[in-house]
Amino acid sequence: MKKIVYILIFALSATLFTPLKAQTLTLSDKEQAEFKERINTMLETFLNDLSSIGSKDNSIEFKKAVIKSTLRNFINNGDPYRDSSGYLKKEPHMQTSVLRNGKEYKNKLPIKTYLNNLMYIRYEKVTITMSETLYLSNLYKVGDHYEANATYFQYFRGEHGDGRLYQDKTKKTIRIIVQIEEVYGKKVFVVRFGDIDVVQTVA
Amino acid sequence: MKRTFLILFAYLLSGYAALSQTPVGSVFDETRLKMRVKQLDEFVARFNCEKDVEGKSIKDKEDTAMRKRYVAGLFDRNLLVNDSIKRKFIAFAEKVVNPKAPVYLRFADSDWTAEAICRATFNGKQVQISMFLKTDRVRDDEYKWAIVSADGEMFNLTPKQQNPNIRISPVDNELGFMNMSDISSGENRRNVVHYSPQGYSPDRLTVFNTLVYNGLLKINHVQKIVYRFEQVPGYVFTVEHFERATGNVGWLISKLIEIKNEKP
Repeated sequence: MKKIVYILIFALSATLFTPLKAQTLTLSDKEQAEFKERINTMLETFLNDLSSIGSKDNSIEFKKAVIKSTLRNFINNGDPYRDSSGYLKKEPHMQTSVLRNGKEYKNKLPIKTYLNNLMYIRYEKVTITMSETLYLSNLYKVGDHYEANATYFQYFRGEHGDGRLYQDKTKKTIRIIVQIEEVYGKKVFVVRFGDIDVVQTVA
Repeated sequence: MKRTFLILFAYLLSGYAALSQTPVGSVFDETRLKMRVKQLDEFVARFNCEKDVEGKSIKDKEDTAMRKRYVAGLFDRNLLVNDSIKRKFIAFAEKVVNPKAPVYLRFADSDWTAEAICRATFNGKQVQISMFLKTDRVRDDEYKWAIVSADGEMFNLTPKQQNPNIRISPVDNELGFMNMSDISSGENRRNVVHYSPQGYSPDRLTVFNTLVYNGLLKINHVQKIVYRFEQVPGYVFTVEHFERATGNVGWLISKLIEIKNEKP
C-alpha cells in the first residue's frame, strides 16, 4: 500500500469540507479524526521507510526502491514544480539537526538528497520511532490547494558496529498539502508532504 | 473565584508532574508532549478554548473557568516571579475570558505581528536582521504572510548627525549638476538622505526590498520567531518558543505589557 499515493476519499467528498467565511476549512470531529489518522499512518510509514533506508541490513537496490516509493508521498515526487500560476517552486526540503558537544547544528537539504545521503549513513543500524502525540493545524487555503502543518516527535537511534551510539529526540513539523483532484468523475483529496522543519528537544 | 483560579493556576504551573503516565518502554513522555504547545496554531486553539490538549474540539467554549485554565497554561511560568506579576497575569486572563466581551485570536486579525530574527549576509558580512510580517488578505477566504517592515543597521539611512549644509546648491542646475557624483562617493554616500526633501524619512521596507532585489542582502536562516499580539484591550503580549526539561514548554507568552492609555 505504501507504494501508492495516499488519497483521502471522504464518503461525501467535498461536501464534508465546509468552507468558512474565515481562512480555514472546518472539519467535524469525525473528519478531523479521519484526517489525523491518515496523516499518522503516512508519517509512520515514512519513518519506517527512513529506518529501512538507513539500515545496513538492506541492499542498495531495496533502499532505492523504498526511496522511490517514499518520494511519491511528497509534492511532485520531491522535485521542483510549477504552481497553478506557472511560478517555479523549490522541491520540499528536510531540515536536519545534530547535537555536538551540547550544541545544535542545523542543515537543510532537498528531500531527495536527504534520502540519498541516508542510504549511505555510517550507522550499522538505524531506528526511528515516532511519538503517539501528533498535532494537526487548521487547513488554510493557499491558491488552488489547502495546507496544514503536522507536528510529531521523533526518536533517532543510530548504532555503530563497535557499539557506539548516537541518539536524539526532535520535534518535527511537516507541511501537509491537500489538493482536490477529480478521479473518475469524483472529487478526491490528495494528501502529500512538503517541507519538514526540525527542533531539537529535551523531553 | 479568584482563589479557585489561583489554585488552578498553581496546579497548571506545577509542570503537570502528577499527570505523567509514560508507558513502560516508551521513549516519549506522551503526557508532556500533549501538554506542550506544539504550534502557534495550537497556542491560538488553546487561547480560544477551541481544542483540548488531545487536539479534540472543546464543546463548551463559553466555560469561563476552563478557558482561564487554558489561558493560564500558556504563560511562561518563569515570568511569574512574584505575587504582583501573578496578579497582573490573572487580570489579563480575566480580561480575555470576560463573558461580556471575550477576546478571541484569529489568523485574519490585523493586530498581530510575527518578527523573524534572521542571520543574513550584507556586503559579505554576517549580520542579524529582523523581518516583521503580518497576515494579508489575498481574496475572500485566502490569506498569506506579508513582510511589512525590517529592522537592522543597514535599513536606517538617516545619518546620526543632521547637517543642513549638505545640499545641492540652487544654482547647480546651470552647472549641469556637475557635482552629482559626490553624493555617492566615499563616506559622503552616508548622507544621501540629506539630498531629499525636508521631512523625508525612507521607509525600511523599501530599503529592504531594494537591497534584496539588487542581491546586496542575503537571508541565510531564521534564528527565532517572536509573535506580538495586540488584540486584548489594554495589553500587548509576545509569544516565543521555549525548549526545556519541564512541562511548561512550546509556544508560550513570554512578555505581557499593560497599556495604560488604552483608548475607550
